[in-house]
Amino acid sequence: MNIFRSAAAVLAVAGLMTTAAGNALADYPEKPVKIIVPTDAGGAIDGIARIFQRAFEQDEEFGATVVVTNMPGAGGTLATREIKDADPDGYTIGLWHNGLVTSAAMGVTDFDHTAFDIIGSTGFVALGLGVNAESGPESFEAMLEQAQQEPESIKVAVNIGLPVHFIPLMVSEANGGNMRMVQAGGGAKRLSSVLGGHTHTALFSVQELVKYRESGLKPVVVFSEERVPQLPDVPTTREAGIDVLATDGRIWLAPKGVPEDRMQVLRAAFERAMEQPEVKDQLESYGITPAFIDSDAVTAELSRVRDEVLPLVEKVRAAAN
Amino acid sequence: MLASLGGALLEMLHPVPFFWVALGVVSGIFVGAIPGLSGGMLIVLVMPLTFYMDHTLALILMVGIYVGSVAGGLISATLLRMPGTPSSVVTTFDGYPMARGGQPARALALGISASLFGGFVAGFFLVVLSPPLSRWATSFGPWEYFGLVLMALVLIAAISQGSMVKGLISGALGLLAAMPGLNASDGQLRLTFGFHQMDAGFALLPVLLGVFVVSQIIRDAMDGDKVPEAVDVSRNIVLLEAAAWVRHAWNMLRSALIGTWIGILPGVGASISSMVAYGVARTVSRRPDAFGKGSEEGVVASESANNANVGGALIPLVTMGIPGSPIDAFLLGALLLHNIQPGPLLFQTNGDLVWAIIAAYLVGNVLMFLVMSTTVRFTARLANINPAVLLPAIFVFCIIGAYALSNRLFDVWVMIGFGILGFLLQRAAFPLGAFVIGFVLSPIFEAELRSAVMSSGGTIWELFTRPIALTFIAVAVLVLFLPLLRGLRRRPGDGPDEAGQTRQSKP
Repeated sequence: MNIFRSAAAVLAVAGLMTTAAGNALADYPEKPVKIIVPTDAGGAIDGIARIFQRAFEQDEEFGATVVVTNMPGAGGTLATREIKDADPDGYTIGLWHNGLVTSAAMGVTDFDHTAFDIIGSTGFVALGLGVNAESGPESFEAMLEQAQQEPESIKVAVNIGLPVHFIPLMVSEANGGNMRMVQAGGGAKRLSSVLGGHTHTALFSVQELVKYRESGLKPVVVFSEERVPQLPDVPTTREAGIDVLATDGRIWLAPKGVPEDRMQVLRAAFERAMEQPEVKDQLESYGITPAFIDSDAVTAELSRVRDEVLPLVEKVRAAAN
Repeated sequence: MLASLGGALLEMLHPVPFFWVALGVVSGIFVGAIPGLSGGMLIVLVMPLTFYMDHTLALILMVGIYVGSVAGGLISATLLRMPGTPSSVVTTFDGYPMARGGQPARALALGISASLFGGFVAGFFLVVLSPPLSRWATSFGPWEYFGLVLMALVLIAAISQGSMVKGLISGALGLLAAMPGLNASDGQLRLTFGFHQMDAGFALLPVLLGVFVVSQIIRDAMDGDKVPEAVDVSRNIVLLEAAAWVRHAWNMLRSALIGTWIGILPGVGASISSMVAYGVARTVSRRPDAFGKGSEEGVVASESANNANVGGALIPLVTMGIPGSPIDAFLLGALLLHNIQPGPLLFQTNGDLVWAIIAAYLVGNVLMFLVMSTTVRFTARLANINPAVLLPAIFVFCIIGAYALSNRLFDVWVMIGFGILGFLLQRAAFPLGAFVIGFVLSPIFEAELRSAVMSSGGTIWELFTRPIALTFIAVAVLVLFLPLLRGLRRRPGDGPDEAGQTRQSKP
C-alpha cells in the first residue's frame, strides 16, 4: 500500500516534471509582455503598436497580456536605448523605424540595428515627394532640371539627421548635389513650409501625400520600385532616372540575447496576427502593405540604408552650420 | 465661418462635450476661488490625465478651466482681498473695499457681469479675427516667426511684472533650461554631459509641473496653516440690474477691448490687461478719487479686461501657434502632447478642433456666468479651505503626471528640481511667467532662426528684405530700450507708476 502510494507519488512528481520541462518552451509568455513605443500615444507608430497589442491579446495561442509603454524623446533614442538595455527574456520588445539607423549615423546613439535581436517587420511604408500644387515645380523632372540650371534654387524642407533629410539629400546628390536642405521639423511643419511657399518640396509618406492633397500638396514622385496603387499617376524615381529607392520600415526589436525559442513564439504570433483581416485593414489604413518580413531581410535592408547614409553624414552636419 | 462656428456651438451642447466644458468651468471657478491654487496649476495637473482622452475633449476641458479660473479669482479677491488667481489682483483694489462697505453681493455681481461681457467681446474678436489672421500667417516663414518670437520674449520680460531686469533674467533662465538634449536644428546632442537620461533634455510637462505646482506646494507648506476670514455674501443669487449694465456698458466695452488687444500680444498675461484697463478707467473716470476705495468702475474694468484677455490670448495660439499668455503656453504644450502641430495650418488640418476651442470659450463664459451667479455663496466658502489639506493630494498627482509622460522616474526628479528652482525664483520676486515663456519659446526661436539662416544660404541679410519680420524686430528693440530712454529722461527716485507697484508673485 505504502509502496504503491509512494510509487504513485513518484510517478505523479515525474509526470509533473515532464510537463514542466515540456512546457518550459510553451510557458513563454507567462507574464505580461511590454511593447516600448518611442513616440507619444496617438501617433502612427503608437497606432501600429496598439493594433498588435489587441491582436496578441485576442490570440489564445499567445495567451498573455500586452502592455504598451510610451517613451517619447530625443528622436526615439530614449526608447530604443531602453529596449536595448532591457533583460533579454522576451518580455520587453519595441517598435521603431529607419531612424534607428540614422540616429546612429548622426552620432546621437552609439548603437544601430545590429545591437538588437530583430523580430521582423510588419511592413514598409511607401514614401514620396510633395510640392505646392499652385506655386511648386510642375513635376519631379522639372524640379531636377531647375536645380541643375540654378543650383540651390530648390529648397527642401527636412528634419535634420532623420530619414526625411537623408532621402531627399540622396536625390540631390544623384542630381549633382544642387538642392538646398532647410530645417523645418516634423510632418506638419514640413507641410506648412511647403504650402507656405518657404520651401519647394519635402518627403512625406504616401498616406500623407494622399491626405494632404486637399490642403494643396501635390505628389510628384514616389521612391518605390513600382508605382503605388494609392497614387497611380505619380511616377517613380527610377522612371525619372534617379536611382534612389527608399521606404520606411516598421521594425520590431528585442534586446540582444533573447532565447531563440522565445523569438520563434513572438514571430509566430506576429505571423498569425497579420493573417487576421482586421489587422490587415488597420495596417492598410496606415498606408502599409501588410506582410511580415523576416529578420534577415530587415537586417539586410537596414544595413543597406546605413551604407547609403554614412557617406552623407558630413554633408548633413555641414548643412546645419 | 459662421457655419463652422454654429456647428461647433451645437456640437458643444451635446452631452459629452458639454460635460467636459462644464467640468472645466466649475473646477476652474473652484481653483480660482481658492487662494494659492490657480487655473494654470489645474491645467498642468490635468494634462497627463488627458493623454488617452480625445484631443478635442481634452482641449475644451482646459479652455473651460481657463475661463472659469480667471473669473473665479474675483470671489476671493472681493471677499478676502486675496487674489484667487494672479489676474484678479486689481480686483482686490475696489472689490474688497466694496465688500467691507456692506456691498459684497453688489461687488460680485459687477465682477461676474463684467467677466461675461469681457468674455463675449473677446469671443467676437476670436471668431472674426482668427480665420483671416491664420490665412495671413501661412505666409509667415522662418524669418517672420523668428521676429514674432523675439518680440514675444521681450514683451513678456518687459511688461510682465515690475522689474524688467528680473523678467529678462527669469526668461533667460527658462531659455537655459530649454538648451540640453537633442537639438532639432542640427540633429546633435547638446549639454547632456554623457547622461543618456538627458538626451531628450528637460520635458515641458515636468518643468511646468515643477515651476508652477511644486513650487507653490513648497511655498504653501512653508506658510503654514492660515485660514482667512471671508466676508459673508448674504445672498444666494447675485445679479446686476439692467440699469447698472447700461451705466457700465462703455467701461465694460473699453476694458474688454483693452483686454483683448493685450491678450493678442504674445506672452502677456491677464494680470497686465486688468492693470492697464484699470489705469485707463481711472484716468477717464469722473470720480477718480473713488478708485481704490470701492469704486464700481474699478471692479468692472479689472474683471472685464482679465476675462477678455483670455479670448484675446487664444487668437495667436490658434492662428500662429504662439502662446498669448503663460496659460496659453500650457495649452500649446497640450496640443503638442496630443500630436497636434500648432500653427497657421491648424485651421486647415484641424479646423474642427479650432472651432471647438472657440465654441468652448464662448459656452464656457455663459456657464461661468450662470454658475458664479448662483453658487457664489458656496464658492466663497471654498476660499476658507486650508490649502494644507489639498497639498498632499496635489503633490501625488504631480508625481503621477510627470512619470506618465514618458514612464521614466527621471522626469519626476526633473519636476522636483524645477519645483525648488521655482520656489527660489518666486522668493526672490523673479516672475515665473517669464521663465515659462522663455522655456517654451526659446526652442522655437532657435529653430526658426537657424532654419531661416539655412534657407538663405548662411546669411542673415535676407531679413532686411522681409518687412513683416523687420517690424516685429523693431517693436522688440523699442520695447527693450524704451524704459532705458525714459529712465535717462527721468531723474532717479521718481518711482514707478501704478502698474509697476502692483507686483505679484505669480504670472
